[in-house]
Amino acid sequence: MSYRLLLIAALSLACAGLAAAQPPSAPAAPSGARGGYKPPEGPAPKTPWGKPDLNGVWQRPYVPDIERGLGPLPFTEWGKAQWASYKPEEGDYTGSCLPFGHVRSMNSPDPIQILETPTHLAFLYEQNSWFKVFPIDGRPTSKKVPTWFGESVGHWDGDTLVVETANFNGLTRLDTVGHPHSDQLRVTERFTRTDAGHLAYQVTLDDPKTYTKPLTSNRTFTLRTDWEILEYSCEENNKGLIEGRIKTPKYENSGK
Amino acid sequence: MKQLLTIVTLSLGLFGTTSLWAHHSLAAEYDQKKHVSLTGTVTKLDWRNPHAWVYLDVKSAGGAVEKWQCELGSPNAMSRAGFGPDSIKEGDEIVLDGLLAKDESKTCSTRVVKSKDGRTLLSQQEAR
Repeated sequence: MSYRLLLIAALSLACAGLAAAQPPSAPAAPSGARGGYKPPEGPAPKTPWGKPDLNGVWQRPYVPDIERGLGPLPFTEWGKAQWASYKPEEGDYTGSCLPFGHVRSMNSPDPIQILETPTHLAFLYEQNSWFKVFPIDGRPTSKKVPTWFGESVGHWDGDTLVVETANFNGLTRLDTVGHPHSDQLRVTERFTRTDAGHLAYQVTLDDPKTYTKPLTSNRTFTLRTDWEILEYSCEENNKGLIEGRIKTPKYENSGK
Repeated sequence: MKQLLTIVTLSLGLFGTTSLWAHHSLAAEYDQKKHVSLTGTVTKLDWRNPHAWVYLDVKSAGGAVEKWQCELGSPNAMSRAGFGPDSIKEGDEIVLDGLLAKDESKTCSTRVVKSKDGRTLLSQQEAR
């Protein structure tokens, strides 16, 4: 099944599940309502097939610099050299609208929508209108080509969905300020719907080529019943690139 | 002197952390040590992704008009904060503080546009 067909199927299933799972006491506020938003209250909902319901548009904390929450980063010598030599003015790849990669997308300020089916999960990142679809039924990975967003598989650990991602191409950065990683990065994310309005999110970055120990961050996502994911065309009016103030990156110092 | 363009280096405050949401590193394009304060007249608001842009005429003390362009937040974030493509229009008098482009063209990056009497006209921060 192609990704597009899969996404359509996921959207249909998830919308049906979302409608069934949302508490009736959580009416959608008008889009663009200013301030005063209160997420729905009540117990964590389940999908019609009995799993914790992760569906919805989620507001997440913007993490432009992972060091702010983690303290000084434990760089390896290779990682330290990557960080010391990084000069965004010589080509922050996102300025050229190249894919953010999964970690930087999850650290971006723009919301994501999660679509859940019995067999797959989809992240719809508003950032540049990208998406990612992957199995959560325990099947083994099948793709072999390294990618910007990596290869993900998920499984349930009780009421927590555990998503493990690897096989990155090593060409992305972890956050806006540009902390590095290599193609050896492995990401483990744990998603736990703690109540009707919130999702506990734990992410662990394990990249022994770049950092001497794994980095773990805990965050809370808030369900936005008043938001919809909007189109985000990075290429449309990227004047910095069009007018020559942003340079396209060179990759001779990539994570490979 | 109200409409005189002023460039202040190494000023702090408005340019803290989350007020400058951007899809890419601002350091790639703007000089974080060169801040500019502008008061001018809107000639155009271009409400398109990845970032909206405002074009404005700024008069110097001598009366000459300088044409500036300033990059704003993303239309998506600003619309969620309650603003839109009609929040400012041609002819409006606006005030903004921004970072100057490294190429030293009359280009800046800002996230908040205010009226001369201090009302917020555009922002990507939700009003609380």
